[in-house]
Amino acid sequence: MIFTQKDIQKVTDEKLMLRIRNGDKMAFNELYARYHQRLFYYFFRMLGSDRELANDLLQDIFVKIIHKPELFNADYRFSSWIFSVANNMCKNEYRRKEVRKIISSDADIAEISAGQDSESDEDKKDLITQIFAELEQLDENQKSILILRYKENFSIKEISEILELPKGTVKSRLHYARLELSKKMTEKGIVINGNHE
Amino acid sequence: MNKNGFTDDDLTRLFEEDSKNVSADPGIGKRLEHLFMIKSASYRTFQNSFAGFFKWIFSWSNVPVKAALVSIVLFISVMNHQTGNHQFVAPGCDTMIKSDPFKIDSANMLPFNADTCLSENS
Repeated sequence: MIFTQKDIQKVTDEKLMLRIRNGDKMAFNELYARYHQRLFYYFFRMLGSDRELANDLLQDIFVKIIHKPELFNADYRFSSWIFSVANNMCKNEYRRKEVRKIISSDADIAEISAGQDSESDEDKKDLITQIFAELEQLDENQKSILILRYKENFSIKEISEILELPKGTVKSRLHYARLELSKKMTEKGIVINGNHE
Repeated sequence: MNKNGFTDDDLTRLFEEDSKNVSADPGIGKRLEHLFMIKSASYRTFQNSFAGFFKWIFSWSNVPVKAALVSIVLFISVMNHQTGNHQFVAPGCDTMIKSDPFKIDSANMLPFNADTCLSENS
C-alpha cells in the first residue's frame, strides 16, 4: 500500500512504530518530525542546558528506535514509552558523570518588580532566563516532573508510568517542585506580575 | 505567580516560551535518515526470502500444528489412492480408450474420386 505524506500525518505514533519495524522510511521521518523537538528540549533542560549533550542523546534515542524497534511495547502509548526511555538515558548520564550546571547568571540576576512592564519582549526573555536558571538548581526528579507536566502536558497517571513511581508520589513531588521553584524565585527577588494569571 | 507560588498556567506559558529558543541540530535528522536507509535495506532482503518459513518448518516450535498438517496431507493422499480402482474395466463404448481415432479430419482423407484433377479415369 502506498501512503502519501498527507496520509501519514493521520497515522498514530504506535502504527508508525509498526511500520518502522518493516523498514518504512516515511514513517520514521514522520515520527522524527513529531518528537525530535520535544525530546531535545527534555534532554536540554534535564542535562544542565548542555546543547551538545542533548543533541547526542537525541541522536542516540533515535538510533535505538532504528536498531531495535521491537523494544517498543505496543501495549503502551508511544509518547509515554519514549519519554521513559529518555528519562532513563538522563539518569544514566547523571550516574556517568556529575552534570555540571552552567549557570553564570547568579551574580547579575535582575529584579523585576511589580511596577515594571514585564510584558515587553526583553523583560520577558530576561525573566524566562532567570526562571530556568532556577529550574536547573532543582533535583532531577523535580525537573523531570515539571517538564513532563507543564511542557509535555502528560497526565499524572502518564507521568507515574514514565517515571515508574506511584501516582501519589508524583503528585506530592509536583507540588514540592512548584513550591521549591517559587521559593527560589522569591529568594532571588524575582516576582512575576499578577497579569500572568 | 501568586503568594502560593506558580499557577499551572504560569508554568505552561513559561515552558512554551522557553522551548521556542531551544532547537535541535538539523544535521541529526539527515544522519538518522541515512542510517535508517542502510538498516531498512537489510530488512527488505530478509522479508522477501523464504528463510523465515524454512526456519519455522525445521524448528521445534508449533510441533502440534505441524503434526496436524502432516496428518491431513497423509490422510488426503491415502484416500485419494484408495479411490483409484484399477480393476474397473472401461466399457468399449468409451471413446477415451478407443485406439482407432475417427477420421473426421479431412486432411487425412483420401481425395474424392469426383476430383477431376486426381481422378484415375481422367
